[in-house]
Amino acid sequence: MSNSRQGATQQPQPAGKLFQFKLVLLGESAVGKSSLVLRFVKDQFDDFRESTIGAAFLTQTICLDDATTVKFEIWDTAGQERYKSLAPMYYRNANCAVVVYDITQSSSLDKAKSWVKELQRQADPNIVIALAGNKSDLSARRVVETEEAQAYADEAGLLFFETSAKTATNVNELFTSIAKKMPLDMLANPRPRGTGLNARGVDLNRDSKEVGCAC
Amino acid sequence: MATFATCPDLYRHPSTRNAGLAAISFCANDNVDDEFHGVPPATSYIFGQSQFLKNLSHPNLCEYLDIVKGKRDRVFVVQEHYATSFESIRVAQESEEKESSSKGQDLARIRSWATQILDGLVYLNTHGIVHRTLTLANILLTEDDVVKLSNYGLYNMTKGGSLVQFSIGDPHYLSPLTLGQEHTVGLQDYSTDLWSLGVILTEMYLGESFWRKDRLDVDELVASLFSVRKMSIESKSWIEDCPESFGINPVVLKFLQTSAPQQQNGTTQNKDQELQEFVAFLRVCLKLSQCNSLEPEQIQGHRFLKPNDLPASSEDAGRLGSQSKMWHAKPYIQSSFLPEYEGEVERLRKAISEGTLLSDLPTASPAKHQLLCKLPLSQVFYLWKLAGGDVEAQFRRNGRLVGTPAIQLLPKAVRVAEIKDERPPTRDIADLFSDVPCILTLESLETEILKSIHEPNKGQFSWDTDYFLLSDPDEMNFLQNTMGDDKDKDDTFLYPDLMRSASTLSGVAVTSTANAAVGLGVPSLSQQPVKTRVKVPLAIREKDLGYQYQRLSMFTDLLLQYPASRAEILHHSKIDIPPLLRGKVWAAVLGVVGDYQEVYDGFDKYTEKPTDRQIELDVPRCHQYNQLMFSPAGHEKMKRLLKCWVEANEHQVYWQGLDSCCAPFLTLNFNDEALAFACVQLFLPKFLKDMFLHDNSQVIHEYLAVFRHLLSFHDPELSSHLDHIKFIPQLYAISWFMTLFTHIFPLDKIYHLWDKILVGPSSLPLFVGIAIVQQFRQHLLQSEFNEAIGVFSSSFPEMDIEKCIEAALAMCRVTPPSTCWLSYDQESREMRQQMSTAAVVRTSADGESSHRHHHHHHHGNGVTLEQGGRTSMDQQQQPEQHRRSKEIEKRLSSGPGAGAGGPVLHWWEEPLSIETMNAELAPRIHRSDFVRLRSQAMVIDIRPEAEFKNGHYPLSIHMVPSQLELLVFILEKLKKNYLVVIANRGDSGPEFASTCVRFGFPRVALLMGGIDALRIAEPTTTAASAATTSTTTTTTSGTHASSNNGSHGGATAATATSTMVTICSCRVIRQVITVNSKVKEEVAVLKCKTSFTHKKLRSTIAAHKSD
Ligand SMILES: Nc1nc2c(ncn2[C@@H]2O[C@H](COP(=O)(O)OP(=O)(O)OP(=O)(O)O)[C@@H](O)[C@H]2O)c(=O)[nH]1
Ligand SMILES: [Mg+2]
Repeated sequence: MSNSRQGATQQPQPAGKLFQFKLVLLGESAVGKSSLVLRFVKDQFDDFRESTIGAAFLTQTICLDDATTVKFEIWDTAGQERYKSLAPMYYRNANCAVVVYDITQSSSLDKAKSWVKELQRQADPNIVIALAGNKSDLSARRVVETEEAQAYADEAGLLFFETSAKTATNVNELFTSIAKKMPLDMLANPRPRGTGLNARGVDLNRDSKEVGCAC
Repeated sequence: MATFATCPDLYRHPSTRNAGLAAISFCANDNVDDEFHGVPPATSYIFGQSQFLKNLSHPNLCEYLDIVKGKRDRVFVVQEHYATSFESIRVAQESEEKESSSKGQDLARIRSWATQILDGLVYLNTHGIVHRTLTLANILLTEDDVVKLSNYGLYNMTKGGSLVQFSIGDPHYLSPLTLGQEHTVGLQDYSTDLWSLGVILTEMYLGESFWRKDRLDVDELVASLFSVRKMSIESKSWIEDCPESFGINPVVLKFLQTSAPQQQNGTTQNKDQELQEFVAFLRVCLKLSQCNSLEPEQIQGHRFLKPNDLPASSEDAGRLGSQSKMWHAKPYIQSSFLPEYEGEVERLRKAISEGTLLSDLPTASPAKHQLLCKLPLSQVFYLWKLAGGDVEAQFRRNGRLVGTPAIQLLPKAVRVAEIKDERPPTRDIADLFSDVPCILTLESLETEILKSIHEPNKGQFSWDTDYFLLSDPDEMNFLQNTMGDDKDKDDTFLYPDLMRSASTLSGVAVTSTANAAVGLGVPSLSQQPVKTRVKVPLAIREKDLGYQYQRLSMFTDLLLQYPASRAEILHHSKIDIPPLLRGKVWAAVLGVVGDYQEVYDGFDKYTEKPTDRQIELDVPRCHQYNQLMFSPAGHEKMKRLLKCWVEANEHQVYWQGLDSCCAPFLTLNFNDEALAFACVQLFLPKFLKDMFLHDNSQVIHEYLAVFRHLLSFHDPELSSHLDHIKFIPQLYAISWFMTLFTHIFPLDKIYHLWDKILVGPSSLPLFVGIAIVQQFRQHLLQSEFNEAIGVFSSSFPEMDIEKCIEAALAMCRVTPPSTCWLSYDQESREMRQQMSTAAVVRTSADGESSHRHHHHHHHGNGVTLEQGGRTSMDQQQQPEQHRRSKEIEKRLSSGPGAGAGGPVLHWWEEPLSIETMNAELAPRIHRSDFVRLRSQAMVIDIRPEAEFKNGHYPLSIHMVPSQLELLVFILEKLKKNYLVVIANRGDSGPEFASTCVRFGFPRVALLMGGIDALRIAEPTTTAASAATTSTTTTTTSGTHASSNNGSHGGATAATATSTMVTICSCRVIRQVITVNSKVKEEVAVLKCKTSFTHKKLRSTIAAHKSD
């Protein structure tokens, strides 16, 4: 099942350093969180993807340059308000977060803002947050203007992209710029081996072993 | 009232005994332009929209059996079929005409036909359907001259033809008013069928075609229709003034004109009057009026149809009213209430062997297929497919998909109003529609079924292993019913009623007429647990023609008698469920009763609600690979169902995932939303208790904690590994349990999974979860956190559901039920209370609530009285749920320990906090379970030595916790099925048990309450013994446990004795019990007659001290 993943990490490549980050996706239901992940991880799009219950987990590795590989552990969460109480379990110790809204639903931006607030209050203080305005292919039905969201992102100190999981616009860009924004240098010191979820974080003792670039 | 007695898919109307099957095929518009996101393809619309046709049932309509989507926008429609049609009669007539001078049909026959056709049309109209394609070819006749209308759904299912590129209807029979009619109007215009009826009856009576034969050019015909229409608008009766140029056959016109009714006084002969009435009738049919046209229902009372001089009954000989539809030769459930049963079976046997079974039917033409003629047609079609039939292939074989059918006649002009769609047909029109039915031959089906049944080695095949019963003689089976027949059968979910007497079961089976018909005799189910039966995989059983035939006929019979037959249905469902009847069988298993339609109708599904938005977002994402769920009709139904649920369950809320849970019920009961809803209402409280409460996090987390314990119980190695890498169930299993796996498996797998879950105990899903995890065992054991979670990140395409469920059942059987107790679960709360000896007397109110499904016992129950008018299901469910959510609220606010006003629990019987549960790896068991499994358990007592010396459970081993590591290898040698830890309250029992798990000991459990629990006397009158005691000789749970294990008791005691001696001699533990003869005696006494009381404990101690 995860053969490809293992295969990728087991090829030794002399110069590569692998960094591993935990990334969480948050946002209102049906804004396209799962679709963004599916596009990023499998380069697929599915019009009828099932809604997410609890959370779903995927990983994807990207190469920043010859020397740096970043592996994302992605936690895709359920969007329905009711599942909110579970969210801390997933964003706890997350290194980065993508907060998604739907450009055709103005309420989804409000929801995104409240997620950002919660992350800034509750999550790791060094968390890198990106705001993604998804479904940019549906420009005819746009209700959230780019400028408005951009202004908010600037003010709150977030990365910002308008994406389309359907057409793949800006999806890789989104994740790549997150990877670039991660404080890679600061993480260079090996830390004690983590013990599972609560210490997932940046677990460099295990992860910084020299492994290949998967892309 | 039998709940399903009137379901069309369960009975066969006698007039259809020689029905065949036929299919038509057409192509829907191809929706290439999907610029509007969400516009479904036409085939999908048709597919969803037309399912309801299968539910129509009327003696004068051919039943719709299937509507299938083929490749490339092709739709196949399978219908009941007869070789004789009005058309074939006309053709035969025309060839005869050359020899004889007689033409047409006699009036009585015409009248009977007219009456039946109108009956069929009126029925259609009440279901909102216009036939619109009434032609000679679409009116079929049985051998007994019963009219069967065919193809009546075509116009409706294609949305008035707007979803196809061809025109619907033959202009020769099409009303002039339909020309250019918008389909939105046409779909409501019931009057247009009367024109067709008029034309058809005229042709049949005169033996002449209505329109002039020599002028069959379609454009001319359409021009004529327009002229007729124009004229009818101008003058009242176009018939009078119709010029020859209109193209109506002059013979016809003359007939319609000259026989025009004139007022004649009694002098006329009856015959003439009849004829005049007929003409008058035809003129009514053919009357065209733009504004107030008559509809079929309005002319049913016409004089022509009700001749005064003929008694209605004889006139209606060929007409079988819907009242007479029940001819089903009933099977009978053998019971003391039905002593005449034996005779009835004999009668049936005799009738079958003499071939006279059908002789008591209203009409007497012989059946061609003795076996098939009694099966509902949908089942015949199902078996036809099982026997290798393939509609699409049949079409190919007949060269049908490339033929040149009569439809070429249809002019574009008929569709003038629909100019908007001017795309040129992308295919040859002949390819789009063929109205010549393709016959699906049934000739060899019966022989094949018989052959399949009588194949050698089928004996063991036909009745397969019941996996609830199956057990290893060396193992416990907690699923095995220990209750006698007198016990209330409604507790089946606690203790499945497996021990019902064999005669009762076979009694039902044998009366299945179909089984008897082929001389199958009694399918016997062994009453004893069997270990060695060969199991034929479900996949093979489901494909086996003979087996499915038997299962179908038996379940049909049982369902017709439901709810009386519920226990039998439940029993047989544990083996397997025939896929075709799954929807109803599930409903029966769940216990749906009463007028569920009325209940469903009673809920508001239309007012806007805050949850609508989420529902709107989720429904288009719910199981969309399934054709029904994908269709617009499916979306509508799902939304209604969910809204209804929200409305009906005011203490719960819509959580994402509920849609997935409803999908199996909806797809199985697509034509019966109310039944789907009733199933959901019974299913959720049983298997997903309180998961949909507004605040469900306690519920979920407790469930997951129990899951984790059970994983430790059955797979300590895997569990400790996952625990070590912090791979907790919260990360992967929430969607499993919240949707009972519908979120991770496709529906075809879910059907099989739920087949077993529904008939099992409510804890079964937990074991299914373990079985799923175990399928990845090797992989997981080698995985670190990341890889581990990757295993569960996709759905499981390769998962073998049958293996999974077998593994789950195997674990469930040997798991003491108390390890699965949930504090929020009514069932376990009740068990907890029943088992508790703290409650000396159970209040009657509490006793009532444990019998949720036993409706007969509830008359006069104060709780339900005010609910007058509701169905009993409703009566049970509503207040019950209400009360429970109240309780839970109370519980949440007052914290653990706050009882719900029920009997008092011992301290150790109180639910644990979730934090405590998560800190422990091993589950805890209640002493009632301990008592049952003790002979198979190694019991380790870790209390301080002094206390142990003071008194202990006779067969226990004393151990200092820190010694475990040293002793592991010895304990492993003493292999027992269970390892039970006894400790003091607040002592390190949980840690010790967890350590045992980490050392890889399977089935480790901590005894709830430790030695305290064993010190309390087990009163003989408590529920504990009531629940487990049925055999006459035992009165206490202590002795019951030994009787349960039969002869093993003695042997076990002996083994235990020798093992302890072994330990002694090893001198590893100094302070083990020295087993002297007195203790041995004590054990023996305990085993045979006394309860494990305080007194006994004391005497054991005394014996020990004196040593
Ligand atoms: N046109 C368009 N549709 C999209 C895009 N991304 C997602 N969708 C559609 O939006 C719907 C919801 O997408 P999901 O990815 O399931 O949304 P989600 O945020 O994961 O939703 P939850 O799991 O309920 O929280 C689906 O029908 C997708 O097909 C996009 O970029 N463009
Ligand atoms: Mg999602």
